[in-house]
Amino acid sequence: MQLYLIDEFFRLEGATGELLEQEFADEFSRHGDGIRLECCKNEYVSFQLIYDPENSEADDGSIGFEALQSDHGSIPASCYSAYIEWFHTIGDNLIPDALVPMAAPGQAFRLPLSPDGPAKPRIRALWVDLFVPKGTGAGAYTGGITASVGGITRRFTIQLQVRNVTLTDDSLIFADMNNYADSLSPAFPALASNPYRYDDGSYARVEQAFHRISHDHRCIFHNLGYDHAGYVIPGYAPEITGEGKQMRVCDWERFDRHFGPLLDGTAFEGLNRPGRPIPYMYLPFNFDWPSGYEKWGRKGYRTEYRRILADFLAHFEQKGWTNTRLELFLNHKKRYRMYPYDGDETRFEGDEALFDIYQDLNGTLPDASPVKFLFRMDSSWSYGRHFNSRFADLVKMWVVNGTIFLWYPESVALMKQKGNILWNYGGLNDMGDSHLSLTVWPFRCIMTGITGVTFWNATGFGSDWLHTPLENGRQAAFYPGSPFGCEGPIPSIRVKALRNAMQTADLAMTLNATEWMPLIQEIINRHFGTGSEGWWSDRPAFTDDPPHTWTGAKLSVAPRANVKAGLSPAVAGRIKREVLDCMEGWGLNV
Amino acid sequence: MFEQYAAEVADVARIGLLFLDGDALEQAQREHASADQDDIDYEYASFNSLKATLLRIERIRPDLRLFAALWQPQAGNPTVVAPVVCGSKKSCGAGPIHWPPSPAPYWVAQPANPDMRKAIHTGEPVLYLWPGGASWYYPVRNSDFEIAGLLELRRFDPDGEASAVVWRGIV
Repeated sequence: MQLYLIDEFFRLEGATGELLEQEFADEFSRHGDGIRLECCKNEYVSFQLIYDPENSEADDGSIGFEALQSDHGSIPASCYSAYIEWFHTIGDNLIPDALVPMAAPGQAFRLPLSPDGPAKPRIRALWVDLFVPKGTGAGAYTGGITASVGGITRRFTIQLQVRNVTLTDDSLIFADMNNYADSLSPAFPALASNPYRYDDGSYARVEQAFHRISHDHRCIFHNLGYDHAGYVIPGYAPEITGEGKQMRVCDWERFDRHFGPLLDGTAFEGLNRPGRPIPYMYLPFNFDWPSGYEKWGRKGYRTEYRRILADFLAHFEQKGWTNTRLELFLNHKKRYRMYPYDGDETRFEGDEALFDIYQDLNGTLPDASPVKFLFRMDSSWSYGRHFNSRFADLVKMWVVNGTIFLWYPESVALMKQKGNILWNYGGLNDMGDSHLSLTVWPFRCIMTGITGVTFWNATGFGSDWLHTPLENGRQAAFYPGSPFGCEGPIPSIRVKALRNAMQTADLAMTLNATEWMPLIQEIINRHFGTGSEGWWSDRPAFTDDPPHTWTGAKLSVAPRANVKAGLSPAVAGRIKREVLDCMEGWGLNV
Repeated sequence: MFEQYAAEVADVARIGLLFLDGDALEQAQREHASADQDDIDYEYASFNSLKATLLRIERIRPDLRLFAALWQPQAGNPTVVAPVVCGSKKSCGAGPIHWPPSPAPYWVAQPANPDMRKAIHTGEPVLYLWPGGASWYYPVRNSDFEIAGLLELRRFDPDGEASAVVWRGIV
């Protein structure tokens, strides 16, 4: 029987207890006495407790946390939070990802959580977060945790170095957890069986829990409220009445009840991270709302769009909801036979005609409105044609496929000149890959000039996620807590790893456009073993051809920058330490 | 259960077919740039006119909660059909679009069910009952009076009252 600590960057295979990231075994340690951690203020640090009974029998246990003490003060034990790691079957391995929260530090637990569960791991693991509050004095802190399980009791020493640097409350880089409503209800039986869930507040409460957990993990929960058929999920749009010049919003009640707490920030009260209005939100405007598509191209379509958009601007201003960027984004794809245009990732040049809607509406928007309304374009295939076109003057938010974007480094300066928001499309990683597949994204933001990454689907858990999530977790950042009696989401190890890297990136981004930023970028380059050019790719010759001719075969052999190839997941930690060293050394008490 | 709607749906179809342009149905879909099912492009004017007509067909009797779609047989192989233009999901209520039992998702080319094939072959309307709903198929003709495709009027019955027995006849 063994009881020890490991750091946040590595994972153990559940059946054997062997290191999953075997190729980096020389960087991995099992800590029998304690662990050293380093952080700035207003930040989470993490580690893992491993119990290896060398059999699959269930054991009762408990974990207790002590306050961390220093000469300047203490960090209360309540700053710890602990989770039981759930092991999924991924190929031949049992890999931990879902994290089942323990209600309170010191809570008793039984491992494995479900002795009859789909996986019967030999290894039992707890993920531990420690939040270091903003006002914590810099210096060295010491404390301990005591774990009792399977007849073993061991106290581990926790040594924490708090650097004299403070992380911002606000994100400067955005990890965007994109989703499509209503993907949540099927995962929560109480919602799925409730036909009134959009009216009685039960759906909104669960969705709000996803917003909260995202905010606490330095991410955004971004839920598109209409589908490819233009159907708007109830509650994602206000009630409208009338037609043509008589069309107007007649009832905001359900919409306000749903979105009000998100737009004024009260939905996020009580978290370690201060509440803020959600930074971005999709509007329900699409090909079939508010106007019916049968009016497409006719004056009535424009009339109705303009009238309802004006109602939105007036309502949001009256409510004081002026901190959130409201996106008008036409996410339709013609492959579903509902509409003839791709609004999302346009490939055919003729599809660009639909953006005449934007041009029409642009003349409607009152320049003096404090409401942050913008047009969004997910450009990808046509980005090379679009970034230096009339669209770049009109559209203020761009999300571009992560591979295709790297062919156009010259686009970044142009976009910034126009004041445009520029993000990449990415995807969550296969949990069989190391954390670096995910944590590279915040550093890619710093190195390429984008300010966000959209993970295209964060709630595609699949129907058998307790066993094997859909695509090995590539569409899940969170999981439904319903199997564990929790009517909301639970996090994943991968989203914790991403959060911790986002913290480092946000810290670094406070130096953006200063004389220190090139030094930060040099640190990142050195740890990734590349120069600045290594973050970009050569543009393939087929990009001179129209985008609709780019076949899957051509794209599969196109150049892709892969700065993370062969690198340890601990790179994120090494970058963090050096960034902290530099910022503290430069006297940058942010 | 669905038989009671037969006459009313027939009325909707009769009106709708007056305005559906079979030539536009043939022209709506441009040649694929590749063999990829997702690689579809449209002749916008034809698509938009068909789409607008489908949306209006759905509204002739909104109480029937009909969903309208246009199908086209593959050139030279009428045993394979593909949806060309779909109406509005709003017309049939909340929830996913349920397609008659088929291994393929609704938006791709797929084997025509026997009732589709009968409608294409005979030129006569056919009703197809399936678990959870019913589809009425009406041939759509071009200006040469050839069958260019099928208008499907679908009623989704969430209470699952549809009979499993297929009822054939003029509807």
